[in-house]
Amino acid sequence: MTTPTQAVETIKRAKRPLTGFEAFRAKVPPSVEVLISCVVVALVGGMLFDGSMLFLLTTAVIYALFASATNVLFGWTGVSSFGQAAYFGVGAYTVGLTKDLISNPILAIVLGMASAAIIAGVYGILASRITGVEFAMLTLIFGQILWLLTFRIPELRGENGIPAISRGKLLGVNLFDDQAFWWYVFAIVTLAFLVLRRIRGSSFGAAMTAVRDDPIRAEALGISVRWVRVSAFALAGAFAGLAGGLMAQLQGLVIPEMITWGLSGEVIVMCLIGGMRSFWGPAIGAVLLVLVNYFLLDATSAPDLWVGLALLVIVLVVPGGLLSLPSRISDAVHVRKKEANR
Amino acid sequence: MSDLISAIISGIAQGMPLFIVASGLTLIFGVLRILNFAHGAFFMIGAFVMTTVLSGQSVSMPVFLLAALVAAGALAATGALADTFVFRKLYGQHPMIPLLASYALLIALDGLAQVIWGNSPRSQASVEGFGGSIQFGDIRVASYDIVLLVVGVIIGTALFLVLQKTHVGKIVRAVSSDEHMARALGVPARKVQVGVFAVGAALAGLSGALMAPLVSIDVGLAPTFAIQSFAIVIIGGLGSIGGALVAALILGIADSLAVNFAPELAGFSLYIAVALVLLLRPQGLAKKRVGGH
Repeated sequence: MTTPTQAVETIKRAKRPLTGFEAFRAKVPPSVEVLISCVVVALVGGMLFDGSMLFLLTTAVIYALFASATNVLFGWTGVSSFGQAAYFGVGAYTVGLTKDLISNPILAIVLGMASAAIIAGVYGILASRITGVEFAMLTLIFGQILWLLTFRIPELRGENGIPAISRGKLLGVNLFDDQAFWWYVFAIVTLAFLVLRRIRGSSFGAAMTAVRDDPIRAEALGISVRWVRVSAFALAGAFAGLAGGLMAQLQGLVIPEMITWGLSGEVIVMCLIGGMRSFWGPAIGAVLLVLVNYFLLDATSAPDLWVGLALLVIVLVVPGGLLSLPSRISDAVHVRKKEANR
Repeated sequence: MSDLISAIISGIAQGMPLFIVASGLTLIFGVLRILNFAHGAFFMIGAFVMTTVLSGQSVSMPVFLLAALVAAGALAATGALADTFVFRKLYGQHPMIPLLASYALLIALDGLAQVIWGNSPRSQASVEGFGGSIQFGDIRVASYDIVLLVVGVIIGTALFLVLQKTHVGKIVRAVSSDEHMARALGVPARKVQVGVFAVGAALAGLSGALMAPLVSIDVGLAPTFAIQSFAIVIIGGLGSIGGALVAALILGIADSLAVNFAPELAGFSLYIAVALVLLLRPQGLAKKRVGGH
């Protein structure tokens, strides 16, 4: 909820003329921005790296999509979900279960996306009568149910998971080649980001912001808060499922670890590192966390401890995430200048 | 019939540790309005402290209870520290921020436990003379279940008496219902907040210590018990200790019946119960804050 003082601050900030990079960015249409950023990253990654490094980058990009999907809930709609890994897992397991039936890789991940969206939507409708912390706990519980199911349903093969998922062929190109797979992932992730950016700028995106900032006022304005929340949940589930499907194809294996609450937590950490209030924050946070995990944390024995402590420091010191630092600093500078002029 | 009765008795006994851990969670929520995700980690650390203090050996009852108190004390200190250094700044902020902070605390404490106690599971031997079972006519009851029952009843009664009948309880209820008003009347709200967090954490630690002989103790305990206690407070209604008791008993009995009569449902009864309650009565069985308002 926004207090009057905060509202005045926001309006003041909005009225201040944009400078430097921000002014340039405001002139570029959002979809062009998405397209250019993705193509640049894809070219740089694909040209400079190969082998295990490219594999790592592909992982990072898939997590970037997962984190952005999760941010639809946390950052856009203001819904806390601690079980997003469940939908990531649904996407992954759909690809795993249909590995012998469907040879087209795109069809497989689209199916994964659809099943994740349906499950998330049904769950969203069932849980839509409650909100707040109870809802947050329920998302966690629901994630654990799916995790438990992987051990109880024989077809899902418990701890061993489903191995030997082939990446398939697309337009005659064998995606088994890591380079080819990188371009494939990037094409899909770019498309997904374009869709997400489009939704963010649409009237539905505005409705989500309204629900986040003040659900009561939003309801009074004629927005169906419940419907917006359920749709946002299905949307986040769909893109989490897409990311999960891609991950299954990348690793060639799905295991119950893809559904555990550890992953749900990690994706929140990614969103937080980058900042939940910006479109790119979660994606950048995801890439950062994957790289940091790989290069720094494997050396120490206790990654969880450091991830937890880092998250704690971020929440306490910069709750807006690392991307909010520049604007916070410039705000502070602005205030100081004003005081100096007085 | 006797099978059914012993299953129900063992279910009630299994519900007691769940009640103790959930009552801590619901107490913290009722007074501080913070959903403490790290509660499962408190529980786990309680169990770990127990194995360290007793080094896994079977000991006599008084020593066992003393060790459980040590575990509860250690967790009370942890809770007070967590409140002072983490949550103090976050009271009254957007609810998502303390939620994330407690989640971070959970991950950090889980990692810390891995550093201190390692990854391999530990076990705690049962109390001397309480490893077997007792026969009442046709009904067979595990003797450790009786210990759990007694401790659970004592804790529940103590919580009720302290909150409803003493001056301290009155102050806690005052802070719970209106913190600003309580402050204006000279109630040391800050002390109450630290105290409630410490007591809530101590309850989780005590429950972990009591469960130590019954479970395999590793870092997987934190998620398992966090989720069970979440389910209980959802079913019972957040902030209601009586609701937590009823919900814990329902879940304990349901799980015990499932294990004995429908093994394929074991492990799921919890989730089925949560789903049913949400569909039929989304506000929980009792919608009352601590002390009732």
